Amino acid sequence: MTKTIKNVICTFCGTLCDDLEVDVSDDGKRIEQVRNACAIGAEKYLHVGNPGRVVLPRMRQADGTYKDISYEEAIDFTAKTLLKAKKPLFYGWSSTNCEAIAAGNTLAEKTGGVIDNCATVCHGSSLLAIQDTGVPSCTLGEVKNRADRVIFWGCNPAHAHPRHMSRYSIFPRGFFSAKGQKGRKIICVDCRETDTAKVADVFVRIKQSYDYEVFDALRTVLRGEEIPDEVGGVPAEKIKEVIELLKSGRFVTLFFGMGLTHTLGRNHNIDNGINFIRDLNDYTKAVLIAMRGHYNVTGAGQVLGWQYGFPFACDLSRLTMARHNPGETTSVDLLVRHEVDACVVIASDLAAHFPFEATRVMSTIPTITIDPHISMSTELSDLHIPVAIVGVEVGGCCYRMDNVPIETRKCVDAPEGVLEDEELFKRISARVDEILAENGVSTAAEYLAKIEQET
Amino acid sequence: MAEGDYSPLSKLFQKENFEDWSKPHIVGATTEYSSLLKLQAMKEGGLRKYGSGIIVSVVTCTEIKQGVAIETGKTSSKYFDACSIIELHEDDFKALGINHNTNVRVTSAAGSIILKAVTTTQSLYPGLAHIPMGPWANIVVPAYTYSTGEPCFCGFDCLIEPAPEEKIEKAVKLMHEKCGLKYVGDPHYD
Repeated sequence: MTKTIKNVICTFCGTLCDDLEVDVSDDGKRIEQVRNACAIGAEKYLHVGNPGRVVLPRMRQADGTYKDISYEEAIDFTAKTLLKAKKPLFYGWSSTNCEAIAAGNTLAEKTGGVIDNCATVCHGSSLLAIQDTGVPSCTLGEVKNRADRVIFWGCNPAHAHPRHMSRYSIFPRGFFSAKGQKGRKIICVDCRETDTAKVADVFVRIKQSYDYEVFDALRTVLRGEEIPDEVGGVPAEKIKEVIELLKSGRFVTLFFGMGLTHTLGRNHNIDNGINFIRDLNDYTKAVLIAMRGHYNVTGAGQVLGWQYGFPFACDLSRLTMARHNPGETTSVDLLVRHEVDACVVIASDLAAHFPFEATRVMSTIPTITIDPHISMSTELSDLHIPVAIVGVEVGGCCYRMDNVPIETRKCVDAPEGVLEDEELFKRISARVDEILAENGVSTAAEYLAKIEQET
Repeated sequence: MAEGDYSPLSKLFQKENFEDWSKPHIVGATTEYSSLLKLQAMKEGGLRKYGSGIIVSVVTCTEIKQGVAIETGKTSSKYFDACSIIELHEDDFKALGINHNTNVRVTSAAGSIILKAVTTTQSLYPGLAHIPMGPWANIVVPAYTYSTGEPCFCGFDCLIEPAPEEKIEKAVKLMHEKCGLKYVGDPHYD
């Protein structure tokens, strides 16, 4: 007899859908069926029981094979590696809960590391622009209930956030949007005619990397000035049509994705986008929301923000103060310039999603990957520590893309003996304290100085 | 990467110091004429064709198939099928003189990789190509971040050449070989 767990939070993308129904076996160990999830969410829950799950830490041997070791040995190796490193990099955090992130940040602080999350290669530019310009924003609930003009710029929710359109942005009927899709006008701006563009009322195809110019043209038209016949591959008439459509709306929402942050201009594109929304507020209510990818990349920024004041790329290597300098303390730059001497990849896959030059450097330094599954990073690491899956085998707080915290739920038990992220970080921290005490020192810097003196 | 792995044009890319190539615009400003700028000039002058290949601007984005495959497992054949492809416009297939699903060599300032050229339902314009995010795409993604931390995942120039005889490497093997690590087979799943 199966048991149905209702209102499960899907921990795949930043939409954090909260209406999943999961059927679990009587003994609470196996997921039998998932309802209401998108293709990716369903795969996430259903593949948990696949054969081949790693349940013990794996250490790479000299011959390239991996050997199972105990959690105690893995924790000891990690603590010693971190203490021996002058500047370890802690990258990832986006696919775990806020409790684990806070525990991990404490460890990074103790060992003088750099903490960076997936925003560094995702919406880091957006965060820079928001720091520069501010952000007129709202929650996804407001979008559902109020928005009648929705712009998707450089994002493709049909593929990356599959239920975003049906739950919040295009199809749902809300309090002030009772007609649902019929009452909304959807505009999609992209260099590809994506599957999202196909459901839009207006598709604006721009030349790749001309986003800044098109934002500028929109702002110029909005202020009643003339523009050239064509800007970034878009005819002037089309730009004027878009402006008229937006001005006639009651509530405009701009969703933007990595089409803006990965392309030429980066934070300046977002800067211009925010100013465009600010200008639109002279005519109607307008807001914008970043389409955050991983389910808790927003939370990683939130936790870092309230602990150290910066949302990503936070350098604690000076031990007394936090520094944030994009281009210097960001993961890709640190790796490419060989400025870190150990790496911990947590709840993310650096090797699959960083430019290869950064990955190659990662493979040359001591690397520990903490991830429930086999990934590219685990296969290039010296040590892989498996953990329980957040949102499936362990609960915890996660932040949705609109900065709303949501408590995720546990559905099934983790395989016997597998630790949670939070517990693992606390135990590594405790081991670091023990090693410091054994050596009669109180900080990682003193430990390093002692080691250097001895050698 | 062995020297023989390079295509004729990629000799232009060969540079003693790799780091220069991860900073294309700095190279352009300080050397006579970087190969990247040459590519750009050829493109803007309407000379997209180079030898048997063509020069395209590449974007790397998330795809639903890739998302599902990530959850299945990164050593799974599903992940291989979803990510080791490059989507091209029909005109670019004609310019290359190849059929759909033919292997091609993609070379950028950062590296070179074999991928399967496929058609797409998410239409591109001629000269724009798409590779789903993943280890294959990242071989050709330049690491320069313009002081923001974000590498050039979208909008970097690549040379595409037909390579029907070449084989696409599996992810783990590819990574191990390129990183100089010993490859002892894929773990689990596959």
